[in-house]
Amino acid sequence: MNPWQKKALAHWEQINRMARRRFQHTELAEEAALFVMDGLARNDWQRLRVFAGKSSLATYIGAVTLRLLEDFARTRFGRAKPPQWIRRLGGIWITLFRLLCLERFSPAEAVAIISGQQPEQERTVEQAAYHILGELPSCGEHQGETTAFCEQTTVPADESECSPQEQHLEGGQRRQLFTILGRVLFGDAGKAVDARLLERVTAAGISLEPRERLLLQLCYRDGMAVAEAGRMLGWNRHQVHGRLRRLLARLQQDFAAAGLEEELRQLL
Amino acid sequence: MHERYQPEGNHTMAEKNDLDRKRETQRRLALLALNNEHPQPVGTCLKAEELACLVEGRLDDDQSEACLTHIAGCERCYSLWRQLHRDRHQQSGHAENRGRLVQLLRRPRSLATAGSLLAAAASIALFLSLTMRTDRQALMQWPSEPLHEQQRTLPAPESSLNQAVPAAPSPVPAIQPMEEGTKEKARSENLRASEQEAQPPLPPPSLPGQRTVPAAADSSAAGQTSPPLGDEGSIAAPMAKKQALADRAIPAVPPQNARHADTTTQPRAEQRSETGQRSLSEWHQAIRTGCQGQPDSDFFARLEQQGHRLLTGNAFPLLSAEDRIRTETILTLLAEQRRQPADLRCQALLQLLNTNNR
Repeated sequence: MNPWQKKALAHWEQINRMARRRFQHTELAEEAALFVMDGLARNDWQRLRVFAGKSSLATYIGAVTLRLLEDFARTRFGRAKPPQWIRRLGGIWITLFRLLCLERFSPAEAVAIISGQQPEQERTVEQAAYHILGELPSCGEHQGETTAFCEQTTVPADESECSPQEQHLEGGQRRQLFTILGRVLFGDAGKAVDARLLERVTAAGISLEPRERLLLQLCYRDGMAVAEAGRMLGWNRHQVHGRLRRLLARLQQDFAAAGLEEELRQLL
Repeated sequence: MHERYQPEGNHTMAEKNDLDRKRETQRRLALLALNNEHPQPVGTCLKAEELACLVEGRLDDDQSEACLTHIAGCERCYSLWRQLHRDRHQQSGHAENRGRLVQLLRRPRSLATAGSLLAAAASIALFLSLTMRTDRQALMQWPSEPLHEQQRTLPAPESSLNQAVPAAPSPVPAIQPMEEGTKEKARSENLRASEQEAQPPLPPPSLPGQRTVPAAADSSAAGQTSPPLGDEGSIAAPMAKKQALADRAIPAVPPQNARHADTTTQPRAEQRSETGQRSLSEWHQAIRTGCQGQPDSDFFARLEQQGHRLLTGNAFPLLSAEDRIRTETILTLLAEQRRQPADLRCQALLQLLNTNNR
């Protein structure tokens, strides 16, 4: 037996577990796990042979498996372009859109797939799922028919990147976009939020460092615990809490410096 | 104006509401800031090994910063990074739990506690074992079966003990350990010697529920070879072995008709009976059985002789002091009531036996 095949088989349980978590349904998960094994075995285990040993093999196989599972999902369910407001929100919103509207998982299944038994994140994801279902009544109705691209289509690396024509068309929908964003960001109070006000505040030109941006995304958009987010970014519990506190204070100052103190007060 | 008293619960509730409001404000501020800029992904997407190294924290600061910069602008890599981190975290969580258990077991205090618990359990097991053993011995010596129960299971006795009472097949054969059988043998051999000198032997009554060891059974027990095991193999073999051992230790009481039919074993059994194999319980049983019929004066005389042999002979070195006292009481009663009619003597004897049993 090929040594790489042996190593892949030794991680079969891990692959199977990840497939089960990603697809929930047993049959689909088994099919996905076999797809991953086929993907690993392709070109004489090319994906494993390029492994240089910088990380542990289990984590490496985990990373490859996640990619192959997404490939399997695209092969199986096709591609669909999320609405602009979902692309603008990003993160769990895009993932939820795929799970709910393309792969047609139930909200509970989609929440379980994303939050992975983390109760603090579960609530945020659940709220986001019901927001999507509320804003997109046709979500999941036309599975396989609204595929924007086939599997052979070359897709630009950044899915959020739009052509100039698309951007022009989307300009007309901007008002609608901020209305929806207002509802999503501010809940029931968002109905009273003026879309123009929101647009002005989101155009203030606030810049964030990559780590700062990731910290805010993880904690406030995707609902992850602060300590966990800090661990992902290489900070300990005390460091991450201190950095977050300082970052939020700085953001308020930046908005104030941009002359948006009154608008911010209204929105917050 | 008086300040209105507010209970502590209201304070904490108000604090909680304040905290929730503050968190919500922070969330809105963060989301507004996130919607302010739309970073483009820097560089190419991360390779699988880079992602794995980042999650494991094996990259240096520059590499790590470069990777995070890309992830901050690339939704696909961000999603993979988050999922991989979660998967690894859950794995390490399971390993951590196992590690905690191992650590707990390695702690000296835990070991001491576990040792103490084991010692206590062993003590209880030993105590129970000893207690049950003592109870079992007491049961063997003092049959607790009430008289009317024995009458139901026994056929009507003959007029005297000289005629052997046929043993009723017990529905549940009494189980005696191997030790008891060995003791019985020793006792019978000692008695045999003393009885041959003293008087013509008495045939022992076969007691209900008491194990009788026929010669055939005895010989089979002594020289029994295990039956050939079938092809069932490894599971059947230990079971067959176990059964053979149990059979050897506890020979089953043969059915009555089978015993009568077996003429070769009969003389041996009689020979054994004639040697006067008597235990204390058998003596008591003989008293009860004899008193069921119409005993004559010879019956009481033999009872007295047997009782004296029980006390003076070497056959019962294990006779406890209590048993000796009981036996002496019975002998005294027998001696005192020599002139009384047989039915009164029997009545007094049975009353005494029943009192002792209680």
